[in-house]
Amino acid sequence: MSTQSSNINLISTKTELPEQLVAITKYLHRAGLGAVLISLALGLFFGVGVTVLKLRATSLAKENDALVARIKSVSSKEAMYAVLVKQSAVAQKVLVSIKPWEAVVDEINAIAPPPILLSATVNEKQELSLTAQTPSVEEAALMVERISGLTTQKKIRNAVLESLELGIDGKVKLVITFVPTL
Amino acid sequence: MRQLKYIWRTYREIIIAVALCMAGFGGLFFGVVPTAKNTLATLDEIKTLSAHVEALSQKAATLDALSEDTLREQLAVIVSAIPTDKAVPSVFATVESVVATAGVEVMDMSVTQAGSLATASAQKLSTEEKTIGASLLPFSVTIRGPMEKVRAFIGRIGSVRRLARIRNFDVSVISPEVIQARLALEAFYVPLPTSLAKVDEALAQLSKEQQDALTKLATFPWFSQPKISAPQGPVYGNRENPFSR
Repeated sequence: MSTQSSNINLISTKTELPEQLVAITKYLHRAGLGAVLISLALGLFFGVGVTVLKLRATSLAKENDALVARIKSVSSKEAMYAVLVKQSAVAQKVLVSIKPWEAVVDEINAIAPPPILLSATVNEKQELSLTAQTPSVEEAALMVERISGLTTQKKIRNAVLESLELGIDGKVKLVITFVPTL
Repeated sequence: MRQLKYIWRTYREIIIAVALCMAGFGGLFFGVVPTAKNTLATLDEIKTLSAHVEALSQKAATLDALSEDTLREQLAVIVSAIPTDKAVPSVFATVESVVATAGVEVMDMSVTQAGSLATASAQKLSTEEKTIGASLLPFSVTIRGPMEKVRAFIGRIGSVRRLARIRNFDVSVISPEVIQARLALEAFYVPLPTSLAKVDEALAQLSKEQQDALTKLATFPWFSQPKISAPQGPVYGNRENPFSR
């Protein structure tokens, strides 16, 4: 006589998780899924973006190299141009610093034409010291008048009669300083 | 094994959720963020390169537009006015020519500091030289002649090539018709730059004042121009080899 086993397992094969853990699981599931989708989307976006940008950068780098080569091929022209710019800046300053001294000679001639003029000296501050000898006091007065006229015309400034000597022969020796307007 | 199967069966949902989270957030932090940084860096690189390429394009276009012959002519003009070294003979040649043109007589002429042993770069520039940007070569000239001719010399010496300026002068009367003028003058020279600017450096532009200065200088007579002309005809007779007997 055979005996048949009649044992029945009544214990549930699936363990029930606590409700809190189930809720956290659902939340984690959604968050994880969301993070995966977002990272895929952003990865795709930035991946494509960086690829396009890298291609653009490579193309620009090639263009840059080509331009550098082009400029290097005309380096002699560049050197000449650079020298020209530098030298012309100097020339411009030099030309500005050149004063029209012939105007000063005109003023000397206007104030005391030879033989009244004895000497004239222009120093580095553009101050002119003029020594003249007139045959008479009237001539000296005329000369002073001419200086006043030039001062009024603003051709000279700061005119000063430094000394005046009257000789026994009636000749008058004058030393006058002024600054010609250049 | 049974234990693992049990754990998987029990916590499968939570394991999958945690794995998804790790993959998602890991992807964000270790994949997306570096790629985004890389993108931004590439964007910056492109901006820099674009600006560079733009500047180089402009430079290349400017250089292409310049005529080498015109540049040579302009350089010749400027170097004749302000040479690259002291070039003392050109000072003498210029003064001699101006003297001849004005019709005065030279009594004396001397160049001071003509033979400095220092190289151009070793010389200390004065404040004035620094302001102008050129080295000065002082010289003095004593001339004699009628007032109007002395005036002509004084007026002309500043408007010839090579350029010179009067620093100070004195005039004394020799006779009613003849005066003597002693002039302290300065000529200028600028050594050539020893190095070129970098390729990517922008070209300085000629200002209107600089162009005006160039135009003005070109109108000035060039008295110290070399008078040597190219030999005409066969210089070795009819022989092809000048060393042949």
